[in-house]
Amino acid sequence: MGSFQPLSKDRAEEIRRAMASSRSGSEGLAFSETGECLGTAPVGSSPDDRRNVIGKYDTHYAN
Amino acid sequence: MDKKRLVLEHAAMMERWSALQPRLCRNASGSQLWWEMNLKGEGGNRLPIKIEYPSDYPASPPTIVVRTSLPAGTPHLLMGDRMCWYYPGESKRNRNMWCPSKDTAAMCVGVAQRWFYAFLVWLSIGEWPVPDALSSQ
Repeated sequence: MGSFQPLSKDRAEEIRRAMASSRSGSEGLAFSETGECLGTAPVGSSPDDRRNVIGKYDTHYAN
Repeated sequence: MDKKRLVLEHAAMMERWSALQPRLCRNASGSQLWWEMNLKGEGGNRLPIKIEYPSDYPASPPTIVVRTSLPAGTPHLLMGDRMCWYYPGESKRNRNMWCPSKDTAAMCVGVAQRWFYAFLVWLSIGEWPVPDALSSQ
């Protein structure tokens, strides 16, 4: 089985709240390069802006 | 998958998720294509996943497969290792409908990343943080 380290209750609650408030195409869940959740952030329009933010059902299609 | 679409898929994946070092794989005959990568999560947790293209892609969406075993009772999984992430036949965009003309496997990585955060929250406090998701349990 994969080895997963549970989060502290406070930290898990913070992430739960961030996920609940980042459920649109314009407001996303922000995270760092190492995978730490940074709360919510607007979903930008350029690839660089969007690299570390995930909106709900965040389409990304290269034209 | 036609060559033009494959080029677009690759470009989208690398543009958005190059930090995860995604690897595009195929079987010996070339009939199956998939991406492999390790998602990075809170607290140093990692989740290896595979995003498989179906034979009728892009008409049907990719399958997101977890490449490690998960704790018993993990919700929002299909057949034990596939993330439950869209509603087949749903017609409203805000209800998780796959859009063949707009979506790529790169979008699936974002879906998987959110699933991974939700999983870690569930693992820690026993609550899945996405209220309208349908449990497959």
